[in-house]
Amino acid sequence: MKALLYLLRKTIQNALKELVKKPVALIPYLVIAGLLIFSATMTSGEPAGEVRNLNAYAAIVNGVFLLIFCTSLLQGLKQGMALFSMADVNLLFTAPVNPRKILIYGVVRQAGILVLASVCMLAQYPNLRMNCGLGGEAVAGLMIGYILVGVFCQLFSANLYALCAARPQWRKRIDAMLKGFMVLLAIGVVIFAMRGGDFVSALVRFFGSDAWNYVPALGFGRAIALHSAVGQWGAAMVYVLLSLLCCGAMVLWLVRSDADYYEDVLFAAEHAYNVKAAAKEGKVVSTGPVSKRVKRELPPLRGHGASAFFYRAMREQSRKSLWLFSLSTIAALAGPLFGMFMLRAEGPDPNWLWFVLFFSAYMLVFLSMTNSVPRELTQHYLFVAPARPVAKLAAICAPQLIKHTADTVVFLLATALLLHPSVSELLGSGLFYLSLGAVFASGMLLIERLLGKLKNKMLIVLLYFTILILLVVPGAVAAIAISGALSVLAGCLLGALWNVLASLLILFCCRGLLSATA
Amino acid sequence: MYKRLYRTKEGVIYPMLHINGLTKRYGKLLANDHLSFDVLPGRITILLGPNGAGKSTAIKAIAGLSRFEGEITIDGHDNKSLEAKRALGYIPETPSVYEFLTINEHMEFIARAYGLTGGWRQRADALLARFELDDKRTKLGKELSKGMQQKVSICCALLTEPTLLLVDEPMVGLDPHAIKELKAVFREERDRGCAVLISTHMLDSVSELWDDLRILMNGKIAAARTRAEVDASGESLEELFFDITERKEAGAQ
Repeated sequence: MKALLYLLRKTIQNALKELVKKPVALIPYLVIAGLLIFSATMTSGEPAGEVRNLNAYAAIVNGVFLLIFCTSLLQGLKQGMALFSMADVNLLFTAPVNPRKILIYGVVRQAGILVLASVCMLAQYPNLRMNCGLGGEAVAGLMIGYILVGVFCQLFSANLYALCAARPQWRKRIDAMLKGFMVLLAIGVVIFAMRGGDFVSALVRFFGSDAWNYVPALGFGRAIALHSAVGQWGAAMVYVLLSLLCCGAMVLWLVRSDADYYEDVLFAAEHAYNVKAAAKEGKVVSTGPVSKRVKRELPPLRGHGASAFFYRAMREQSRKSLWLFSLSTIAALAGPLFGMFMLRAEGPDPNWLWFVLFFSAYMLVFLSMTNSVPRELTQHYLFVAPARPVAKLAAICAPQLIKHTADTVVFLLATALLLHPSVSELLGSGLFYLSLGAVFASGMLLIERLLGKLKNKMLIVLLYFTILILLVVPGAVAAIAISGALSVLAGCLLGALWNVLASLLILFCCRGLLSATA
Repeated sequence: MYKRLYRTKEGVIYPMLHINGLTKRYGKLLANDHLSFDVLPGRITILLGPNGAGKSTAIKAIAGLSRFEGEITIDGHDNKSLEAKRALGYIPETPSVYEFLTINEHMEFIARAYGLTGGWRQRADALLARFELDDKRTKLGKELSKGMQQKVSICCALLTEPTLLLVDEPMVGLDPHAIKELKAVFREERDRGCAVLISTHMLDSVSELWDDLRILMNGKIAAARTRAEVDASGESLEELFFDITERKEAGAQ
């Protein structure tokens, strides 16, 4: 155990020393801290007002905790625990250290990461204040609940691992049980919807129900967030205690288990190592799942010259995931869902369409980081193939646009079904959303062109967001102004036109991108 | 306990590594198919085979990193026991070190993890000097090149004075000086009485080192020879390797 404590202590000490030694690396952290403090204080001057939409808040918190629970368990069962690095595998797993102690070390380290991640909850302060009339206590409770639920999920996953490692047949059973649990949740929503009211109110009633407070760990986390939000810290502390008991029980189970889990960890550690090594070399490793039913025998590839890159990317994409649903589809659904909640909570708003588009665009900025354009740009044969550079650039962006077109169809369907807009509003928002895909795909080229030589990853991410936002903001501002003065359709058309022109201009400016890999 | 004793000029010896019926499946793929062999103390055994033969799978099983069917003992102990791990030094194919630990701290961490007492610092100093890392002691893991990381891995494995040294593709990423030193280290370890098992597909890198040879094909041992047997046959290691692997491939077709 002394060796593990030494490892933890030295890692933390050296990470802090490194930040002090290289102040340039501090800049992105300071900017992010500034943004967090700004967002946390921007509404602090206003009175919190009366608490409202508490049920909706409870439902959202519950939904987020359930999502964390299900995804961490599913990921754990499929890929193994992501608690360890390759250095742990090579140096720690082969050392004469008890595997159970190593497992506890991994969980403690992960809990530390969760505590750091929970700081991001500060950014939700303005949202909670404006939409629910909740103050700083709510954020504190949310952070505590998030950390405890996160730690519990890690421990629970670790235990299921150990269980499945000893009895492989259990893996399928647990996977089936988890999926069955999700089906039960869906059935619960349907039952609530059948009792009356619309779909949204059924969602809020089901996930916001106080009965969840009795569900160990997950429900306790929710109860901490809710009780602290309304100043009932006594009750919140009771649930903190109960959550700690749940975590303690998981630790006890873990310590007593037959922990031959190294093989399960190996795959996740190797995968994480490859992703990190590729990122160090400026490459991107695809993290998308490969379908088990992948078609290996397909007709020969089509295309010549630049178009060969397009068809190759399409072939890879078809093997990697479903065209209709991938990470970016979440962005297409997020806006309409957000709009639906907002309209219910706040009542009709003349700017609802822009809130919906803003929210989807906001999500798309984050999810665009995983798109295939940067990965394509690391392929050496893209540079050496005898075809016009602009044609090659267009060829690698085109699959993204096709995928985004599919996402736009999802966006239109969700908006039409959930928000019942007029035909012109639907058409306008669809065109605007479609054009966002073009500007984000070409924006990746611009980012490679401008930031390709930067080494500080945090700074790259920060500038990445800044550049994409700067590209979209002028068109969006003009579009909102025109939609107020003329019509929504005219505003959307103007915004879409700006996005298309911006993306063509970027493509033109980056035409020399393929002249040298540097 | 040990299944077999070996009579040598020095007397009766026990195998340091004993593998009996090692079988490893990944779904339907049979990566190792009932492998059985021993590695003796004071000898360098090489595990040769083309890509996909199952060498790395076997090495991971021996290092205790995967589940398997069969039996593996190190110095008479189950390979996943703490006693076996204390006897094992492992140099992996993919070097990976802690990003926020300096080279010196890596040495100290290994000393603590293995419960090393007096004398390890001098050994660490000597190893770091030998692999030209002594002027980089305070560098963090994340500041090291791949080759330097490999050198740190080697130093970590040797610091514990193992009685079984397990090495997966040892020369990848090393500079000529480090390769020369590593070869010398293998000989010294053998002379110290350590059992050395090297897995590789680069014949040139081990041609002058080995005492015993196992050629792996499609997860099975296709051939086992001692140096004396190969020398007596007049064949070179390369000729023997291609003769066996290409004959097997032709047979399979």
